[in-house]
Parts: sequence; structure tokens; C-alpha cells
Amino acid sequence: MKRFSFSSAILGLMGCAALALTATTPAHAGFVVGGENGWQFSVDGMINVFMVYDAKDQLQYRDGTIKAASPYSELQSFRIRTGLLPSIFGFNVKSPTINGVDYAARLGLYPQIQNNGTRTGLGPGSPIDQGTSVDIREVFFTADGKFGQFLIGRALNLYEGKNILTDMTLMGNGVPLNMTGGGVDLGHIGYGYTYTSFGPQFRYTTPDMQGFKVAFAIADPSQIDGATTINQPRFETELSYAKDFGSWKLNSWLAGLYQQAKFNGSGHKVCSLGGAGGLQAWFGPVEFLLSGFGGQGIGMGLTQDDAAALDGANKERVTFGGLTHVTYTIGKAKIGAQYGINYADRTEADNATVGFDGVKSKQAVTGGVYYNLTKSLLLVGEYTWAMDQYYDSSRQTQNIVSLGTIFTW
Amino acid sequence: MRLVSFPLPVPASLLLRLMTLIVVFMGVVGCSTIKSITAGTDSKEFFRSREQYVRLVKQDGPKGVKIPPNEHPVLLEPGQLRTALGSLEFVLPNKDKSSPVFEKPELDVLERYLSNALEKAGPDEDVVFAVVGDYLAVYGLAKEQMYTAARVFYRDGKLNLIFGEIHGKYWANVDRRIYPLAPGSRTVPAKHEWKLLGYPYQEFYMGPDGQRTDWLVIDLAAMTARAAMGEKETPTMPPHPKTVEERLKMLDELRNKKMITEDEYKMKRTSILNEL
Repeated sequence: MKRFSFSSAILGLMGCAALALTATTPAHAGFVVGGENGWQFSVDGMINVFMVYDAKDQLQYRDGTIKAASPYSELQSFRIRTGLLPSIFGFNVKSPTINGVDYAARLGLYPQIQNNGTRTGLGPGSPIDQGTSVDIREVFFTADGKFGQFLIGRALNLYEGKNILTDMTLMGNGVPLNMTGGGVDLGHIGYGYTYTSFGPQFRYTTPDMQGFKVAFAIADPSQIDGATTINQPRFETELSYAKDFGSWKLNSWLAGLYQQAKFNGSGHKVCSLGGAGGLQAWFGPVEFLLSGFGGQGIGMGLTQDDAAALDGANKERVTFGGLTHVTYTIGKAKIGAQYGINYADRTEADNATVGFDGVKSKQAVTGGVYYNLTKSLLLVGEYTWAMDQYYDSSRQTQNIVSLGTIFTW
Repeated sequence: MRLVSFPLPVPASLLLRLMTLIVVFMGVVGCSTIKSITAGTDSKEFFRSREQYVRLVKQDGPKGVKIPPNEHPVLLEPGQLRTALGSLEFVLPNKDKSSPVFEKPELDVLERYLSNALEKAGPDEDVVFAVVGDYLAVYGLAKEQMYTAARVFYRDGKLNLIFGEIHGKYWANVDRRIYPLAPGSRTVPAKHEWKLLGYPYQEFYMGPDGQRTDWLVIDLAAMTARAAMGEKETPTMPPHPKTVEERLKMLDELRNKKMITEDEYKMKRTSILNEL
């Protein structure tokens, strides 16, 4: 039926972004070829383009003294870039039901549009240098049956997966990553949660048990900051409860991560141990979210592989954060406000370092309007204020305005 | 000297222990509850293919209100169900042309499994289903998937279908706990833009709050009789729901004919006026 609502459009966008609310496989609609004999091929995807203006203050102390002067080119920037999500071309194959088991496979290609630099000529930073190849984020197959689901391959990781999926700026831009270079922008990554990334894994998810699901994953491990010797997998788990109660809906989850790694030479062992969770609820047109994470060896931006995961003595640092937002949907439009913060604890080694100036907190507020012009075209307008604070009491603030559009199929 | 101004009222070590406990708890709870919670959940499923289903569920209805029992189990005449479902058509707003609710692949599934479920259902059970069909898109070059979901039961010699959705956009693999392929409900009318077309042997259910355009009542015997007489049927647009004025007049008539009590009259009148 050719009908259209904001929620269905967002569902589609999330689907083709391979970022569905389920902790298992991506949602996708797209166009279907075949199916007569039970085998089916479908294509889905999206392209998003944002105009982003970023105005930063100098990194300065509370009294206004500039700590480190940045060139003017880094303080005021305008770029046309990809938002939080890259563009997506997703290809799916589904089998007929074989002995009660439904098989499916997905290849998700995630290209980006922006230049790596600001040059118009040839060479690094020019229009022919995008600073990114086609990002192959998804290559996996699934087996679904009464037993639940097995997902095997490269997909969005479980730990903090739902934290990013429920970010209001998932279909927006949020905080820029690198205005003079390539790469996607951050949304609220680092400002409310850490980025779990996509990775190879074996995952099992139970069937729906009256609204409850439990998922376990043996995932490809990550180096923990500088600890790169890894001889064991990363373990991830998630308990979720979600239900449509008729007049309202609830989506809730708790997730955990555990992994060890060693330093080359010294053999010094470090451990990542993290927890995450969230509550998301819809009451008619109003949606509310409260999510958070915390742990040691997790970091502030990229989960595990992050400079804030360990201190100067290579001891695990505790970091945590949270995200909250309220949105209101009126017909084809959704308006919302979101606040998120990540916080890095200070360790004994930090305390022993004279003039320690490590990052202390990163917080951001975003107000956004998301309007569906058609069922395939979303218009986005966002304003974001962000502030990074450091332990030497210095800080840097930035104001970001982004206007963009997302075409999905 | 510790300079940190930690905003949480708990030390970091306690936070870590708490998280460890949560992770362990999740594993233990998850493993121990799988068997108990899933026991028997699919024992009355007659068809499942990916997210499509045909299964029996208990009758739904408002709490504290006794729902009249269905005439189940019921054995329908061969072909009767297919004819009834195959004749269903609907239109969308601003569209002149109607479309069939079910195409052949969906009818094949429903004829077989819906009939089977109705034969096995108890008086306090309904049959619910969701089927996904492929419909042409991109000027016929590809297809889009749409789903239709409904609740079915047989009562007073008639087949009742309460639609939750007709040709809704099908997003594969979204979390069905939040976005279920939900059948219709006796209690809450489905929000919909589609309009079912009607045949002389079909009518919309008239509930206490007026006509339910998502709830179709099909007189199978009349359908079969008309078909036997060779009458060529053309579906028509459903009548518009009655206006408040018409409903108040009808209520007055019912009171004048002493078909309802004074209390019932007052209660219903208030209910209608409250809609203004």
C-alpha cells in the first residue's frame, strides 16, 4: 500500500542502514527480484548528503587564555559531507524455508561522498581523493528457525549496538569528525556512547520469549588502545525486552562486553569490561530515550581502540556516558532535542602526571527537525552545540548547523 | 592528590562490579528462562514461513467483557474460503482503481492453512494470520513486498475478518516485538486509509461505537447462493460511516420502539455526544 508516515520512513532508513532495532539482522525493504521459486534477491539503500557549517572556539582555559591556537581554517568550516551514516547499497539473498530454517545473506557496501581535503586540484585532499574506499561493513548470513537465529559474518557489533541505533542523529549529522578531511561525522558518538563498529562474529539470538530475547556473540577481538597481542575472542551479550502494548511501546536492553589483550614485549595484560543499557518508549507521537554505558578499557569514542581506554601506565581507565532525547512526530515531521555526555575517569597515573591534560568529558546538545518530503526523501535540519573539557580545565566549544537530505529505496 | 570531580555518587570500582554482575545475571537469566518461557508458544501454529504465519490465539476483547463464543471448529465447503477471500478488494485515497486484497500465492496459503486452522479452533479461539505478497514496482521492473494481517473467526453463520493491515509496507527483520505484523482487534479499530469494497453478501460490523470499516462480516451461505444463481457481482464503495445526527436519530428510534432501556439510551447518547 502506497501510504506513508514518518515512522515507516524512518524504519526504512534504519533498515537499509543495516541498523534495525533488532539486535540481529538488518531490516531492509528495497526492491525484490525473483521469489517465485522461493529464492529472492533484493536491493536496498540510501544516499545522504549534508551541508555542514562548524564554528569552533579556540581551545582555552576558563579565564579565556588560549591554550593552543588553532589556525582559522580549522575554526570556521563549511563542507558538503556524508552525515553520521555513509551511503548504503545493500544486496540481499533469501532462501526458501528449508527444513524449517530460513537462510539469508547480505552484502552491505557503504560508500561516502566527501573529499578527504579541501583542494580542487589533483593529489591528496583533492576531489579524486575521498580518503575512503568503499566501506564493506556487512557480509553475513543468517539462519532463522524456532531455535532463534544464528548470524555469522561481519555485522554491527552487539555491545552498544542499540545505543547508536537509537541515537536521534542516526539520520542526521550531529558533531563533525574532521571538517578538513574525509570520513563520516559522529552524530553523538563520543557524546553519549562509544562506537561499537562492524566486525566479524558468530552470534546466537534466542527466539522471542514473551518480549525477551538474549543474544550472545563471539566476536573478532580488538586491540585495547596500544595492547595489540590478542589470543582470545571478545565476548558480547545482550538481554533485551521490547513490546507493543497498544497505547505505547517499549524497547529496553542491557549489554555486556569482555575481552583481554596484552602488550607486545612486556606481556602486560589489560581487560575491557563494559556494560550498556537503555530504555526507549513511545507514547503516541512522543518518543523518549535514556541510554548509557560504562566500563574499563572501553574508551571515549571508538570502543576499545581508543586513546582513553588506558592511562599512561597502561592501566584500564573507567569511562562512562549517557544519552537522552525526546522527539515529537507531527504528520510527516519529527522534531527532537537530544543531550549526551561521555566522561573519562582519572587514574592514579594521571594524578601522578604533572599538568595532566587528558580529556575529561565530551558533551553535546542537538535540536533537529526531520521532515519526509516523500516516502523516499527525508529532509534534515540540525543545530548542535558541543563542548570538550580537559583535566587541565581547558575546554573547546563548537556550534554546528547542518542541512541535508537522505534518499532511500 | 585526586583532582577528579566525578559526578556519580559511586566509586568507579563499584560501578565496574555492578556491570560485571549485570553481565553475569543476563547470561544466567537468559539461559534459565528460555525453556520455561518458550514452552508451547508455537503449538497452535499452522503455517510459518519467515515472518508469515497462520495460528490460533485466544479471543481478544476488552477486559471484563465476555466475548460471545465462536462457532468453532467449523468445516467450510471446499473453495468457499478462497472465493470469499479472493473477492475482497480495496481502494486507497485519491485512487480510482481498486486492487485485490490477496493475490494467488497468498490465496494458496490461506485456503490451505486458514481452513485447517478453522477446523481445529475452539470456541474461544480466533485464527490470526499475516501474509507477505510481492507487488510490482519501478514500472514493473521489480517488486515491492507488502503484508496483510487479519483476525478470522466464524460466528452466527458468518465469517468475520478484522484487518490489522492491508498491503502495509513490509520491512524485513525489524524488531517484531515493537513493530508486529499485527492482526486486527475486537477492541481497538485499526488506523487505516484503505477502504474495503463491499458485496451484497458482506457488511461491516456495527459496534457500540459505530461501524467498523476494518471488520468485515461475510455471509458465506449467501455468497454461495448468489454464485449458484449465476449473479455477476460488482463490488461497491462502502457506505460512509453514519454521522452523529444520523446516529442520534437512530438512537431515538430504538428508544421509541422500546428496543433499548432509558439507561442504555442515556449512556449511548452521552457516548455519541462525547465524540464531538
